[in-house]
Amino acid sequence: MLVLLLVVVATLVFLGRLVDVQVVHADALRAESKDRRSQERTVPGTRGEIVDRNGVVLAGGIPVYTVSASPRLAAQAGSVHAAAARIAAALGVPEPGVERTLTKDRSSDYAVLAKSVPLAALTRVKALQVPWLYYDESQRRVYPNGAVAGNLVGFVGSSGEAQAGIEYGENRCLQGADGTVEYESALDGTPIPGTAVTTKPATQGGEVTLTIDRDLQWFAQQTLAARAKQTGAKWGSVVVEEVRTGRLLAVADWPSVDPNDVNATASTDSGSLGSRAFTAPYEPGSTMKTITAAALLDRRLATPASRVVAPYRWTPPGVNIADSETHPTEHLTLTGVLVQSSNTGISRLATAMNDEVRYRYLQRFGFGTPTSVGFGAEAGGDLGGGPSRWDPQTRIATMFGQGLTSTAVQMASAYATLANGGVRLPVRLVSSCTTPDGQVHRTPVAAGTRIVSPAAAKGSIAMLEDVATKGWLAKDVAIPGYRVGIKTGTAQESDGHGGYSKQYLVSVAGVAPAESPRYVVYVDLNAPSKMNTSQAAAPVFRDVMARVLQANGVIPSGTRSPDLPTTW
Amino acid sequence: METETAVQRTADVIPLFVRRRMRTVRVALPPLSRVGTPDYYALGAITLFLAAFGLLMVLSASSVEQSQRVGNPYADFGRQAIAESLGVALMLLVSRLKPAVLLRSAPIVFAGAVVVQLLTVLTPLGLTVNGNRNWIRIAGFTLQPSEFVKLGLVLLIAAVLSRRKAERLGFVGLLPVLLPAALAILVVLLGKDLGTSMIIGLIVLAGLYFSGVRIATLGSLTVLAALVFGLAAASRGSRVDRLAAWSHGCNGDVLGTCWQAQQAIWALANGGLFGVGIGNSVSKWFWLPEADNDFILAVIGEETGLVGLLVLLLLFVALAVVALRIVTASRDRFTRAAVGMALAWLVGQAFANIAVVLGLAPVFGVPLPFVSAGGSSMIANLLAVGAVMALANASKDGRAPSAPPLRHRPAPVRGGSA
Repeated sequence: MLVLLLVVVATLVFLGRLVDVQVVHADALRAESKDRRSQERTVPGTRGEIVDRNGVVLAGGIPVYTVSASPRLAAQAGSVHAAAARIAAALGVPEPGVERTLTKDRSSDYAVLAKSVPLAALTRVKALQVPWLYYDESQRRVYPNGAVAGNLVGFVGSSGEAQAGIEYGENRCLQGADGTVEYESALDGTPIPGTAVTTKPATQGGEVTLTIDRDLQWFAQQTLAARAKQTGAKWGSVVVEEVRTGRLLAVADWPSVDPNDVNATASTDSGSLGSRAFTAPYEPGSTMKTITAAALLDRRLATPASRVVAPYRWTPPGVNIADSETHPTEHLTLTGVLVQSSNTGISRLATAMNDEVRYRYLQRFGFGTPTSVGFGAEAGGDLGGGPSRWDPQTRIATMFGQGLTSTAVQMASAYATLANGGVRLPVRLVSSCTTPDGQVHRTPVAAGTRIVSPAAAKGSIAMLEDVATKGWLAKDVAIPGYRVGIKTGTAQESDGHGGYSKQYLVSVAGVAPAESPRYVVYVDLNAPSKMNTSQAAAPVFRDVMARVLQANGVIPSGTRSPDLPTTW
Repeated sequence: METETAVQRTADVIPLFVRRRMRTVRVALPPLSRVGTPDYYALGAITLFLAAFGLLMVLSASSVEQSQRVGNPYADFGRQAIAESLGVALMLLVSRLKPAVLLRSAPIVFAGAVVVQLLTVLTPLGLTVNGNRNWIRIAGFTLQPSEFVKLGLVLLIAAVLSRRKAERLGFVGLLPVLLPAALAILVVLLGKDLGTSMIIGLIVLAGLYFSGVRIATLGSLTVLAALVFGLAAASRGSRVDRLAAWSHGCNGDVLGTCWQAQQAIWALANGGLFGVGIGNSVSKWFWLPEADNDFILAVIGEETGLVGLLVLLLLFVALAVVALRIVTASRDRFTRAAVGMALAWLVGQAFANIAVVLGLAPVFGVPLPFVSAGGSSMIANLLAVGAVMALANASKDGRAPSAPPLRHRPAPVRGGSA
């Protein structure tokens, strides 16, 4: 019976100990063991794609892998030299480097062997079945269209953080969140099958759809680049806006940036990393005369036939303005003022308008505030603080686009307003964000705002047609079969010290088909050294506009442009 | 309508040819009660259950290590299955032997086992594993002769004590028992296997206790044994380390000497009340050394939980109860001594193993009978059960080899030992 007692007592002691270990302190001990036995792996939440209006991928991601090793376990397993040779061969990297990494610190549990390993190489390494190798998936951002829309799309940093363009501006839609998977590993580091637990699910990023048409964007960039090189310009842009929707179909910048190789651009011209069409305001010059004229028409302070005497130089008190070329005093209509691009003519007509009223027109056309696109580092331009702060010279200069600044997109939007019968639509670059669950979140579109009356808009466009047909660039901008309306700009640029430099910014803004405008194309070239008139920009306008009309199947006009009187 | 179709259908059926007179074959099987006593069946049932469960757990605990080391996850399991099949066959054979045969075979078994053990420790035939020179390689098979030394010693001591009135024996009188015991312990200790030699010591003390040796004599012998094993333990650094680790705890040094004990506790904790399921142990992924062997209990605890371990514990308790029933029911000295020693061996060793895994005793490396991987141990254990089964039958039939009755309890003793 003594023996039975011993057996029973021993059993009870064991049972007590078991309850203690397996029930009472189980959680604490389990946590202790998990500390040592479990590993965490990051599951990348992939960044969403950026696509053009037709779904063509402008920015996407491919999975790449970081291969790391535990030198401690490698040393334990032995034959490091042979293993290093096999791993190096599979990765396609030099063998001594791999061996050095593996043998540098034999007590370490983490050493990176290779980063950005493509899937093919990873498959070869995995086939070696080395238990002390670890693989972390990450994403590398790729831009399959290279520099096409590169300035718009922007780029991400080496670790995937958004840095510029849509990548930056739409980061909230695009970014995914990394998740984690915890798994138990064997002593040699092998993940134990069936132990993986998703501790935090990875979330995928959404897809951003732009209003940009990739093919048109390419064409605009090509045309712009060719002309910019030919004329020796420092930089330039082309903006194509769809009149009836406010969508930007192309925003070309030169120099362009290839987001796949940002450093190549960054080293030569850091200003080109964004899109100057949004970010670089400048004094627009004569293209602004159209806006001034539209305001006059809307207020019935003038008609296209309003008469004005336009001298070469005009010097009311505190003002000294002149036209770009000397000429005898001319008798011009408002249309003639635009055709001749007479500074004195527009100034003398526009003085009939209250400055406050004109300032409000400028604001309502969108000058002075960034567009609704909200592009990264987008500029709003500067209206010189308003009439109260304008000196007499500035007050007059603003009538023909000097003494205030605007961006290319702002000017395009103002012309689109006139083309749209006087109703301004918000400018759009991003049309929607599609979340991974398939929900499409369209960019909210504010209703259009009437800026000028339909008659004023129609009158303005008619005058632009006369500029196109009777102006000195008539041959350069004509598109056979279509009625086109344009206005040129040759603006003196600020030298940054309160004066004007010798360089000009030349531009062409235009609409087509003029009888029922559907597209606005705006072209600017900064400081074209070999041709400092708007003739530099004219062929770009013509080619891009012709391309837009063709590509979108716009029916030829079939009528002639109106023939308005320009002189009296 | 219906009947009509029914009639038509029966007409289509082809009648089977049936013989009118059936031939009756009678096979006469003896009733179970004639083959063996309830204790006989109980022993067999408990043992077979333990062995089968053990085999399953060996597969679970060894497959990961085996698939990495030899590329075949079933290598260890296969060896164990073969040894177990052989062992069960031998057990059933031995269980049908007459006790007299067992008694006569005792010196041969013992002598044979000691000789092989000597070959193991003294000749190049022996293999050293984990510092223990315990295995001998014969014709491609490895054998652990120390397990058979235990078996031989149980039979030999029982045989010696069957012809003597143990309650009257002093140290000198017990020399025929103590000398072979000392020899057995010595040859095993030569192989540096302290754990097995301690179990042999326990077996000897149990044999003397169940034979009725005076408490004083038994007490002095126990003290002596404790001294000897204490010295042996202290003579080797690794054992001192293990002892220190056990008594002082791990002090955060998880990679040190107490790695194994720590991993075992973590395994048990991971199992919790119901376990993580058979096959799902994490510890067997190289964390727990000897996962299929000395520490298989930790894997069982992890995979089947407290519930599984309770079942295992109760099986060993049941084994002890059945053995004690046989001892108390028998008046035969040979039976009492042999079954008592088998009890100390199988249940004692099991409890020692469990105590180690649970961290209640220092790590001294004895396998869990019937469960741990190891063919020699399995066969020797099954043979021992076979012998006990044979004796269980004999005690009921009154076919005891030696008549002299014995009082149930050892006689009270006057004075100390001589």
